[in-house]
Amino acid sequence: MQFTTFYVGKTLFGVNILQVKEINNQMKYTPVPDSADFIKGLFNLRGQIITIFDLAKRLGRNDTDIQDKTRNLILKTDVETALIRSSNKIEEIGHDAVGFIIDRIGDVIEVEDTDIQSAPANVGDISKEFIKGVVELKDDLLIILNVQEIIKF
Amino acid sequence: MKTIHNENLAHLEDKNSENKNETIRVSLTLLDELMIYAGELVLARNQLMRLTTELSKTIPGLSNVLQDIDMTTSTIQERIMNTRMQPISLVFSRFPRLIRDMTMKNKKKIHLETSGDSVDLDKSVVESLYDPLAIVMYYLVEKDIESPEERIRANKDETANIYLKAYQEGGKVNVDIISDGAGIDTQLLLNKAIEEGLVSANDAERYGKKDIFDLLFSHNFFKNHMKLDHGEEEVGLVDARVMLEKIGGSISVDTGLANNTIINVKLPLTLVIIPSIIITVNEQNFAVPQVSLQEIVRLKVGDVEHKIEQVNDAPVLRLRNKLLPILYLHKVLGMKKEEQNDETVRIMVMKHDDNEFGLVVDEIFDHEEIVVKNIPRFFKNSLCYTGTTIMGDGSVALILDIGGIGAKGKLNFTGLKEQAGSSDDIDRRMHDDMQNLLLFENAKDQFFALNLDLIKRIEKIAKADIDLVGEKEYIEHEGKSLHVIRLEQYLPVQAPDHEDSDLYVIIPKSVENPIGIIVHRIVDSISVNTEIDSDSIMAKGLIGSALIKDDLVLFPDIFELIEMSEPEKVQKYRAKDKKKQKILLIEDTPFFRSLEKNYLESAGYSVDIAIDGMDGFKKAGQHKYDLFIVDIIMPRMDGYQFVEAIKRNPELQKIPTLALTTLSSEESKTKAFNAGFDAYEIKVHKEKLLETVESLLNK
Repeated sequence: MQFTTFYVGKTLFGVNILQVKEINNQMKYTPVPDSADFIKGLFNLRGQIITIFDLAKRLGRNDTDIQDKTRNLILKTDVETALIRSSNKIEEIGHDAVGFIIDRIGDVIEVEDTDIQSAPANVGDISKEFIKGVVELKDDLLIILNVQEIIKF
Repeated sequence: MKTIHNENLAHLEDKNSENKNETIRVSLTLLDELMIYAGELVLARNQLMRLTTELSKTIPGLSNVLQDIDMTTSTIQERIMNTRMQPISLVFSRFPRLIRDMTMKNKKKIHLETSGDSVDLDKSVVESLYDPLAIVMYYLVEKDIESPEERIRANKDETANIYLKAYQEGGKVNVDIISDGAGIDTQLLLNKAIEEGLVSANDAERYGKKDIFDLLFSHNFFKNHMKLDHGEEEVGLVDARVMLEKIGGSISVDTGLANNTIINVKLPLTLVIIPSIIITVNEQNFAVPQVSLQEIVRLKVGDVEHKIEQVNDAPVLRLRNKLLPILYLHKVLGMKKEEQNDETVRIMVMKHDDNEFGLVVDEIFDHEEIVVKNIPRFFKNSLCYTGTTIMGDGSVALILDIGGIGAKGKLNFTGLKEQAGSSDDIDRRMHDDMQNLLLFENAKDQFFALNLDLIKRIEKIAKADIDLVGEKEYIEHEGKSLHVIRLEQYLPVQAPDHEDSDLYVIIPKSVENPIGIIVHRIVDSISVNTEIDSDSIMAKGLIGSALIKDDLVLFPDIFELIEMSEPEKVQKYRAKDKKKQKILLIEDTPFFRSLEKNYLESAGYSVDIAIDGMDGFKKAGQHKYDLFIVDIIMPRMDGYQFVEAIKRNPELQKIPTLALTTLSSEESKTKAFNAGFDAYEIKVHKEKLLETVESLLNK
């Protein structure tokens, strides 16, 4: 399986590459008052309304500080993954389009299924429920995000 | 390009002339999707146009292409909108029968004529149109049209005429309902309004014809039992107006002359594109649906002090002779206020379901037609938004939910409302021991009942209207998708052994996250006096059971069903670690007693019950309670007497008291507070009740 990887702070995360719709740097959001504090806001991606989560905040850290390398990682909705979902182990995330703010984009990494270990407990400050699995890389630890859990609240 | 395009069209025309009226079935969902994409296309076109204005001077031919795109886009949007259009004749064709039924009873002679039958409206508008028009028909047939004898005496033809006329005008569809009856006696109407205290004699002098006509739609002078799509009901012209406003329409009297009464109804063509006003708070754009906007008030800095007053610690605006509660949008939305140099205060006077309030915003821009898009599910917990839209510059703006903003701002409208309806309440109250129940059947011979007070409407649907999304079922209701459940999914009851193609959906009222309950057959609506037994048949989602006409009838608990079916939406009052606070519930009507007890217990309170004030006062002395919840009108000792007795007792007077009643008039509210109650709530609004209980207990 291939994973798109990215950094939030110094932590390396990954999501299934087939789940990723695009990565962009459109940083003008419409904030939504009276909503969860880890939701950064909405933006219009070619007519689709995307809800952007501040991933760092969601993981319990401080708000993301928007810098040169900050990006939005936009995920595909269930409609967009309908045909490839079951054969590629892609999570269902619902019909509302979502994206995460990330600090920096990493490489695409090829991982064997057998290399993915389940997380026995929290990894650093990341709570267990948000982790689908971990992969030990040569000089880093890759945390595979449980997207379903991140956007459930 | 052009020529090919035209050749194609010509080809199409040839084909069409061969196969006249050829049609295919297309799913509504697909049309809805197309509609949405057409909306996108329009937005993208608008952006493209703005970005290329400069370029078209330098690139030859560009402006022609742009013009083509512009025209084609508009045409596509219009054509797709047309696919959802249905002729108004679908509604009109039902009136001959209604008139026939009515004239059979009252012996009047009426000839009905219609025109403009082919005027098209969006499907959702057509579906909601019968009820309000039927109410107007009832009004005309009962009130306006004279008996044949009277007509002959007045030198008229004994057969009266009603003329329904639909026509399009300025992006709206108009329906005129014209009758040659007796007309509207404005003086009589005004006198009646003065008599009932709706208008003061002083104000009445300034009332013009139009103001008087408007009284017809703001107070139910005429009420009748009517058979409508959403059940049989006691309704009047006020209800017709409210129904029309819900679909973005309006109603007024054009002339009330004898022989020529004209009632005019205006309807929007569609609900997917709505007229709205763009406003800002802290420089963020929001869209406000124009139907809710009454007027805009601007106060200069010197005016603010004497126009905005404080009543019970809440700001109100004195507007002409009314007191209007005021909400600051930034406060409701929880935004921090940025310093503003501009000293004018801008207030939008909003109206929702008969409740008026002022909404203070920073800037108010022009009216704009917006394409409504769904609000992502992550924001469903906030009551403030109904949707989102994309602005001309490509940014996203939120569409405000005026009803939700009012609720969020904790406006308790019962306080400032006129005393309308108080006599009705007492009337209803006298029969209060009788409960109006809707009896229905799921599996054969398995009966259920719901109190009619809890039901918003009953909708007949075809089995094919139900869409399966994931494991949940949905239907389209009022232009939105509504989650529908079946009783056998949540209650220990049988599923029907076969399914008819026609089903019914019961939609409860007073809930934040509406669901529909699919039932197999509506049996009857009855008025009975029964005690609900909540012990012998116990299950989650049930209030209890009762024997009605020798049949065992189960009473589902709507609110619990909602909680069971959508657990993710309801966390507010559940399973919070309550220190088992003890409440004494004093209520004489068995039905409400079980229901309210159930609500309170589900929120974690311990509840004792008393059947009237006397019983309550006795129990109050025997145990230690944290709160008394008291019905007002009860035999032996009523709520007022009870609370007075409590407040005289040095040991009990500190315990908070909550009046829970069906009386909604200002008068009874004042009386309750004067008697010593600490809070006042209207029955069957669960969320509000629990909220108030919690705040009283935490005081």
